[in-house]
Amino acid sequence: MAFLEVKNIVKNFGNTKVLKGVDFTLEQGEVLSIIGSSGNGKTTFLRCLNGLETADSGTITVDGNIVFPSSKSIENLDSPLTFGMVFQNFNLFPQYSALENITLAMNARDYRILKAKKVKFFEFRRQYNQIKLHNKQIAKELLIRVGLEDKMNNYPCELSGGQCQRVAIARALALKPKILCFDEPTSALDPELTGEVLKVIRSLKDDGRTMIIVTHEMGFAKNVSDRVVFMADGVVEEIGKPKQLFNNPKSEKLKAFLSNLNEKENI
Amino acid sequence: MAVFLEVSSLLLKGFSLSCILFVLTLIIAIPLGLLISFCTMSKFAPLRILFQVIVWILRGTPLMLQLFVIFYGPGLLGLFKWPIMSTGWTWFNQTFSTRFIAALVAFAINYAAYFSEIFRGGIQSVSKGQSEAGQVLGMTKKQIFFKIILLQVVKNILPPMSNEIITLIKDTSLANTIGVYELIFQSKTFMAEGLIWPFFYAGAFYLIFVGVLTIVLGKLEKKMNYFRT
Repeated sequence: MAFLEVKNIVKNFGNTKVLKGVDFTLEQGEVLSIIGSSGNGKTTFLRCLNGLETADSGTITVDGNIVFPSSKSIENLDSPLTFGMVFQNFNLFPQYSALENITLAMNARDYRILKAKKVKFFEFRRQYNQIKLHNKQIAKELLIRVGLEDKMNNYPCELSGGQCQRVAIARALALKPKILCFDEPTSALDPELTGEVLKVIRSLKDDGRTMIIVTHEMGFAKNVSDRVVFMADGVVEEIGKPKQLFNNPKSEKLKAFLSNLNEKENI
Repeated sequence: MAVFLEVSSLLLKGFSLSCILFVLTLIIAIPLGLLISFCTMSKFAPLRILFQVIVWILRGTPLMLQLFVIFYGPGLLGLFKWPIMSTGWTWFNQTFSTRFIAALVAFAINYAAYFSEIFRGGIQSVSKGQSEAGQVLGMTKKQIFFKIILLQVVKNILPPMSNEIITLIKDTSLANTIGVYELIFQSKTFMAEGLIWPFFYAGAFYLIFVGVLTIVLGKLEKKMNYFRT
């Protein structure tokens, strides 16, 4: 059984059919890119994976556990998150420093775990403060990891887009998600800033992280992914190794999509 | 000089009551307004519509009218009469009449309606991505609201709230129409002696108070400038 199994995911917004049955599987440590023109359901699919949208039907299984349709009773407080998400617009919390952006959700999780243990007030404070210190250390290491050790105490409005996105990646990593999703992570960036973000994602691949990347950066998709999915019209039109997909496209839609891109490059 | 001291002491007494009315109204109206704003944003249509109508009535009729309805209404309907009841509460030699309580109720409800609209705007102006980011990080709804959304809302609503708060201290003067011994009520008592200047004196109290409020609220706004939403 594959690490991630997506079966027949359907999603409608009113009368608009956005996803018409998405199927694919993903192995642990694999990097999958999703390409396709805008409005073909790539982002909606990612949001269905994360639970930001509720699919109308279909199943999602991760590591043998059904995550959709969700069965909340199985949810374990201590278990790491199933999916992490990096947004196109970063969505950093503006009132918190880079470091606090990362520790916030960790502290929130540990607060809930500690609350569930029902320890007494002073003991609770003591333990919680210890955990917070520990989380701060983890956050620092993550920021060093994405090359922002000198920006720990800066607020998002003081950071460049690329730096914001790297903080957002560190923030997603902090919760140790089993699968990390990227929704067009470089689309909101100035062209000269995309490199620093792509470099971080590349280094995550080298760590053996399982990732799903929705992207318009074809070169990056070609280089970093183990497999590429081409989505068109709400279904997986074609899936395969990047070389095969980009050099020998089978479906007409993918051929048209690629030749369109080539034309653009020649303008 | 003796007259000046007498006027001063009475006006101070009146002003302290105005201030207490002001503070208590804020303490009640802010949480109440937040609650109403949640109701007017509810996905449950009957609740939402009910509270939208209530807010419409409270914002659409004069505060003076609401004050009269709350003060005289129960008596005219034969339920109870505010003036004959005594609260028995004292504070710096002030006894709080039930008239004061009636005024407090009217002000708190009216201002809660105004605040609820400010809160609604403030909450809706925070980008949806903020709560989504919290959601994918596994935070609960409560944690998302208090740890992420609230401070951004506070920053967004501070300017319109300052406006309302400044209006409130002046609106407390309406309470004199139902016989609350606040600042305007006290300065009116000198009309019988043919004195006009106590009114200007009373005006100075409001001016100074609003001046201080403006500085404090401005400082608070500046303090929030370290981030941009």
